[in-house]
Amino acid sequence: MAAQAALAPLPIRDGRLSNGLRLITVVDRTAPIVAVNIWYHVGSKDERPGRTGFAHLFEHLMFQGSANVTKAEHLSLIESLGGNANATTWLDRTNYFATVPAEWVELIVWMEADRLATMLEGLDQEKLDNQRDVVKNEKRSSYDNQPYGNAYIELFELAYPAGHPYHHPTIGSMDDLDAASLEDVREFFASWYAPNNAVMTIVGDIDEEAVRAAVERHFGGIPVNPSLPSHPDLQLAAPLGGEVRREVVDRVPDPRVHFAFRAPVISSPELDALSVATLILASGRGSRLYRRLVREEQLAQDVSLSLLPFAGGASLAVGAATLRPGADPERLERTFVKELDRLAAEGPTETEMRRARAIAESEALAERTDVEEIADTIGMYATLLDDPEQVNRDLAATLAVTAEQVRAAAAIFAAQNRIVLWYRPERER
Amino acid sequence: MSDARAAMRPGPGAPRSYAFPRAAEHRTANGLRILALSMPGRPLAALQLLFHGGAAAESPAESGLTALLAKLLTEGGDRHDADGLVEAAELLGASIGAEAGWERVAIGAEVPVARIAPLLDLVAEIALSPRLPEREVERLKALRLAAIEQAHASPRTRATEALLASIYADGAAYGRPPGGTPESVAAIDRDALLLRHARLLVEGEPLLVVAGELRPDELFAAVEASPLATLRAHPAPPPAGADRPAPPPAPGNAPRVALHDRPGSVQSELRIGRLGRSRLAPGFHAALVHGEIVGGLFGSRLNRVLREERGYTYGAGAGFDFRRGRGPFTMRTAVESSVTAPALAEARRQLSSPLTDPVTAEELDAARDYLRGTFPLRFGAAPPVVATVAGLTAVGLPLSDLDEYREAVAAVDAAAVRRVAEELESESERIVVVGDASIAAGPLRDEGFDVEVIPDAAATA
Repeated sequence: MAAQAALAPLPIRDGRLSNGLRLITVVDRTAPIVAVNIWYHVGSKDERPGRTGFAHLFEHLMFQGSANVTKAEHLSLIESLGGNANATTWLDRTNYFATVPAEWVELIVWMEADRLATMLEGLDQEKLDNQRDVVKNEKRSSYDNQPYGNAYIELFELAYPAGHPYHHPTIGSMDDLDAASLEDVREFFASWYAPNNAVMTIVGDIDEEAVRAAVERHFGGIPVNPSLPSHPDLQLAAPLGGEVRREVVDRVPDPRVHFAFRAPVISSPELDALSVATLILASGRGSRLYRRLVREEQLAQDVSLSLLPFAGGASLAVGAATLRPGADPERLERTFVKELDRLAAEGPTETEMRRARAIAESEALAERTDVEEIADTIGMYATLLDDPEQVNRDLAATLAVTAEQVRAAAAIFAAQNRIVLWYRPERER
Repeated sequence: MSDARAAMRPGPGAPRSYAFPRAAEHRTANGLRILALSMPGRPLAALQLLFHGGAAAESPAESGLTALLAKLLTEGGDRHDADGLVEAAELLGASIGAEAGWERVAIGAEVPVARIAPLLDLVAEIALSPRLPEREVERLKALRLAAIEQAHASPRTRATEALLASIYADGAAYGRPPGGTPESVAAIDRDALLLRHARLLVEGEPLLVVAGELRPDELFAAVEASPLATLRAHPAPPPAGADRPAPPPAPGNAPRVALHDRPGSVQSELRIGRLGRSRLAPGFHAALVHGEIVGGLFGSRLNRVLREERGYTYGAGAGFDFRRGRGPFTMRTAVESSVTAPALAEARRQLSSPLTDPVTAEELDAARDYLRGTFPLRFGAAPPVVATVAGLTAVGLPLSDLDEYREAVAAVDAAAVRRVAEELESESERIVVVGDASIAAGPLRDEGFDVEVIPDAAATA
């Protein structure tokens, strides 16, 4: 089809500086912009007990200045170039990214190098205290003060046993955030923030030789960390071993049921089939769950089901449906589960497979016009799979999935691998 | 080491040029206007088919009718039922949706360029002969009512809605959520929707905007060959006064705060608002610069003080919402409950600060550079290009406005920003807080605010 032909492989150039920094460049002249992305292989899984939320707090401190960049200058400067920048922390990693008009790429490289080389020189107690307050307000805004805001925290707590590195939330606890000290910051920086624990991906309208030389110039003098810590063991001792249920009574307008299922890890080839399964079940108004729960039986206001891929132990498939006022919650849960079971028993239809392929193609086309997304995906595959070229195989792998593989992948939705979390209003409507 | 790094700080490389895609224009014999924007390297095209008349034109009793009609358009037409329509679109690799804005109804889609022609047939089907099935009318009404409840439970939405209602007069559309109120939505029936749809086809000038890796002449030919060519242009009714402001509050010494009690809230949602300005009023570019300096940029006065100095919040922002009529100017933030009073006082100080503490050359540079420099990033893909063209035409501006944009922004000076601030300050100030009144009310009164506590509806229901 036309769409497939348009997806020429990205010309990925991969290499390492002598200090271990992995540098990946891709020339893409569609627009006069460049995305610069760094993945540090450190996330909330690497936090120690009593310091949950620290990887994310640290991410905030990376924007508080370094030897040659003043507090808040990093983001303000990028804005004044007409660019944008941000960072996120997740279980397996912390990523920092900026997209700017092409002529400014070297300045971004320089700023990233400056904070990796000299971040501690810009640090003080006042900045730590300020960003601790900001992060505590982030937790209040995004989790504690929102209806259903803590649902994912509950799901992770149920999906991974206490003590497992994925058990605790990335945002952390208020007590642990309060306990974070300057000494913790110094130690975390010295342990994890090293060129040999980073992947830098630069995608866009670049002079590739010049950009690679610039990275060498600014990062080359940053020393390797010869004693990079190892990541914790992510192995799960046992399967879930039966349905796990929890009910939360909270200030929410309508009952909502959340589901989680342990799923294959990011390196597993079965993940492609599972992503097609979730697409058939819940992507858009043509999906099975939408049609059955929202349109036909009118049990739900909304439905969702998606994949959260992780490096080890287990990924998660998470779903949710908000009860339509007046409908029967038990029937909602039962019908949701029935649709999952039916896919595992009967598999998808040929039409569903064709639709899934067409949607996957269009999504791939949309991603290809977004240099920020391309850079981030490459950074993920390089960091977690040691294989940046995977980005060029994704679509073909999705299109090659068979109906039988989708049926088999849906086996993870079985009762013994199911977590059910109900949110119920304090007062019935 | 750091001296050496400082010396290595790079300046810009060779500048790249950027030009907003050119629009080729065509008008069908019946009067459908088509704008085609060619964007090489974007094989996924975006389109919007736009009809005159949005939520701004609704009376209080009709409120939400246009939004519900938009939702129902994708529930099938004379050839496809709802499932059939979704399936037909997905098999093309397309997504298709419709929504009502303040000024217009938009049917939007994204589709691989090679399959635009069959998609146009689907768009025409739901635009010209939507099915509006009775069962789906009732279902989507019920969903809308539930969504209104969900929105009210979110402290953010509740605060914003209360603020807008306080800025505009009773009955003015800008003071209501465009999705309608529980009373107005409950009263909608299929006949009202049919009439509303019929008006879409006989009021104002329909417009189709398409962007992507396309050839305009081929697109025009495809439209001419589709049922869309039967769409006609008509005169537009006059605007409806969506922006009538609320009467000014009785004179008093203390600023008033409407404190909506939400027991157990760990944060207070703060909103400050005033009647803003029309997109068409002179000084638009100065108002953009003003908004960035006061509450737009990460380094804006509000965010710098409330977040980066005081740590009161995860983020604070403010700015104008530019519409055909006078949209609102709003400040939005959420702060820990115990600092509600000092945070509100500080936010008010920062909002008024351009009058007492004139904007600096550095602030002007940062805002102007951002607004001018961001074009290549904002318009890299087809959907935002289509949305921008749709937005300009919705308020009746020519596309040449974009060509003048960067020069007009560059010409904004401190005096122009001050004039914007003065004009804003002359409008009545409205303040809304959604939070735990048992924590916030006392300190707010101590800080000198005239506080009215609005009890929690859920507690009294």
